[in-house]
This record gives sequence, structure tokens and C-alpha cells, in this order.
Amino acid sequence: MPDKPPKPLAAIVADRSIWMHLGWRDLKSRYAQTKFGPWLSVANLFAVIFGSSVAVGLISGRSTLDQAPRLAVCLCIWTLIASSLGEACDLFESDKTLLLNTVIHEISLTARLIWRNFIIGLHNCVVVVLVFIVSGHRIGYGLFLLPIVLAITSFTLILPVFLCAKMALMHRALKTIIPSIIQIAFFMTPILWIPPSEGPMNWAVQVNPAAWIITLSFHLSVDNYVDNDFLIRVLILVSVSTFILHFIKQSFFHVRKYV
Amino acid sequence: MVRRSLQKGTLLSNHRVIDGITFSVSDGERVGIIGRNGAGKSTLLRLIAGIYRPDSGTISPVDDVAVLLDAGFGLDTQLSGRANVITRAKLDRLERTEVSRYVSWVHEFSELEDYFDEPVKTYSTGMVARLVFSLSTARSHNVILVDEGIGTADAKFQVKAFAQLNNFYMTSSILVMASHSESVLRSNCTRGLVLEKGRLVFDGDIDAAISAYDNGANLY
Repeated sequence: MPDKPPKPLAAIVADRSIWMHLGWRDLKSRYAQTKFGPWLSVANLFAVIFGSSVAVGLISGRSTLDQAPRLAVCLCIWTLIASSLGEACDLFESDKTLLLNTVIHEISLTARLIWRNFIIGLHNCVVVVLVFIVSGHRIGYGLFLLPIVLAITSFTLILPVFLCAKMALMHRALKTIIPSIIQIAFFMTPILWIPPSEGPMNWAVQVNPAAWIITLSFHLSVDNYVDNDFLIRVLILVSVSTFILHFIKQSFFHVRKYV
Repeated sequence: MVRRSLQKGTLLSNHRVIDGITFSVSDGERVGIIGRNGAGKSTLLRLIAGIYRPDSGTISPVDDVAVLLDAGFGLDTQLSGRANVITRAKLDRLERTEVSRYVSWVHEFSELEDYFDEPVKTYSTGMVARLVFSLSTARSHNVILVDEGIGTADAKFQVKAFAQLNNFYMTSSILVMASHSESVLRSNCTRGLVLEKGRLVFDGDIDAAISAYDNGANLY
């Protein structure tokens, strides 16, 4: 037993071989349950991208193939965010035996969940490249920075995922409320729509951290330019996450007594 | 000599599970923890292991602790026995060279042969028990914390399993075991702690501890 529990960031580093192994094992277990393995989630995303492109194209009167690259990038990022937050609701319940039989830090289990969704995100990057090829959109340097954006997104998700997991453990009703909030957030995030320069939907983008990451991503990947305004916001998000994770009181991360 | 002093109270949902317990355990001691269901035995073991943090009080830290509360924890039935053993090795923070030795030992001892590389969901109950037992007793530890003993699987496996279990306990510096079984406690422990509603009500020789507990309840 360690003398004092390590700080969350230190625990994530110290436990990295454990959470990376567990996250990868989760995916192997998931893929073992289907004949199609990882191709199922890849095919699923492909279908969602083209289905959404058709829908958005019909609504906006624009070509389906024009919508596809932007939607592919946005959905790749959004899938990471939504899956991580959605799965967080059951995180500590499903890891109950680990929590009650090992001294693994709770934040390491959070890292495990995000890591497996990050790996899925990397699969999805392949889908994004395929969509670009099929739609005939120019592939620039920005597209190859998408995995880095996914990594940054994963880091910023640590605190919100932990918060969701802890709140859902303490107040079980939140397990049904959080997925509904995620669904609403989907429509408030510029995935199916392009952010306007003013108005209430512009305000929705300004206050929505998911929107900052997604807007930065599609400008980088689709338009091949770095939107400095959103880049600065994302860097501030990373800094604030790091600060909170390092300085927040350690007892905040103790959830075992609620399991 | 390792000394541990333990004093804490822990509050869980307005119910005080452990209330002001203080004791120390020295090198070479075999301690049995006795009490009714809900007395706080498992919670006490988890506090010693560092799994729970006390609301108040201190626990002296110690290295190399084997925690055997739920021996089959973390088993993923979709994956093979080998994959599950590797996971347990990772959780125990073994070095790479130690992992391969650990996996080989478990494979050989469990006698699972080709099933070792098949998904655990295809195993019989006895095979799962062999795997879990092998996982639990593969490595020696300085301190062993056991809740309700370790199952030894089918009768054919039991002979070598009992020998391995004895060796597993004997190679530890400190053994702390919670159990309802009088025979298990008498054969493995020299000192007994009796818990009642989260409080330590007796600390002494194991036979005297069992008698003290018997005054209020029955052991099987």
C-alpha cells in the first residue's frame, strides 16, 4: 500500500501499463463477441457519415459528397466525446471488482475508458481518410493531425468523464439523464450544421468546449488551416484540465465507498 | 520486524462499519479475524490493503501485499485463460520477464493444457476454480490478506492444491485471514481478533478468540 495516494496525473503515468492493457483488453473482448471484429464499428461509422451527409444535403440543398468530409471529421471527434461520457455512467459499477480488490487509482480506470475510445477513434480516422478519397476532397497535411486532435480531446475528457462516472455512481438516476444530455448536446454542437457568425447558435459554439475542438478539427482537416481563436481556447482547456487534475483535493477522487 | 498500527472509523451511508479499531501485527504472526456477517471483517481487510481509505486514523504502509478477497476478480470470460493471467500479472505490476514465468507456472499448475488458450466461458466450474486458485497462489508475498479462504477446486486437484496453499501461507511474513470456519482458522492462525459491529471486542490466542466468538454465535 503506498504511503499517500499519488496525485491523479502521477497515477495516470504510474499506472499507464495497467490502463493501456485493460483498455486494449476491453476492445479484444468486445471484438471477440462478433464475427466482424473492429470492422463492425468502422462500417457503422461509414454508414452514419453517409446517412448524415444525405440528410444534411437534402435539408441544405447541397451535394451529399460535399458534406461528407466535414461530417466525417466532426463525427470522428464527437464519437470519442459521446462514447466516453456515455460509458462513464457505468464505469465504476462495471469496474466494481477491480475497485474492491486492487489499489488502482480511480483516475486510472477513467484513463482506461478514454484510452479504448481513443483506439476506436484511431480506427475511425481510417474511415475519415476513406471518406475524403470517396468524396474526392483534397487530402492536406491537416488531416494527418487528426490523431493528435483526438489525443488532446482524450486528455481534456479525463475530468468530465470522471465527474460523470462519480455523479452517476452517487446518484443512479443520472445514468438515464446523462445520455439524454449528450443527445441534446449533439444538436447544440456544430456537427450537422455550420456555425453562423452571429445569433444564438453562434453563442452555443462560443460556450461549448466540444464545439471548440470540433470546429478546430474540421478547419484543420477539411480546410487545411489553423483557426487560432479555437486553438487558443483548446489550449486553455488543456491547461485548465491539467491545473485542476493536479491541484484538486485528493479525496475528490475516492469513490470506492460509493461502490 | 514489521509493525502495523491501525486505528480508524469509517462511515458508509450513515452506518459506521469500522469504529475505533487499534492493533498491530508483527513479522511471523498469523492473525484470524472472526465476526458475524456485517461485523466489518472484509472492510478491515480492505483498509489494511489500502483499497479503502479511513475517515480517521492511520495505517502504517507495507509493501508486497497479496489481497485475496474475491479471488476471481477481473476475469473476462470472453478472453482466454492465458489472456486473463497476463491481465492479472499487469495488475500486480510484474516485470516482463516475470510475466512469462508467471504465465508458464499458472498454465502448468492449473493443468488446463490446451484449454488455457480457449475463452474462459468454455471452461467448466472446476476449470475456472483451478485457474483462479493457480492465479491466487502463484507468487509468494510478504503480507497475505485472505477473506474466507481460497477454494481448491475439484477433488483430484485438491491434493496438490492443499500443499500449494500451505506453502503459499508459510512463505508469507504476515497472514491475516477472515473466516467463519473454525478448522481453517485453527490450522492457519495463532492469534484471533473478534469483531462485533465494527468494534474490536477480543484480541488474543486463536482458541480463546474462537471461544469468545462462540459465546455469541456459531462457527461451522
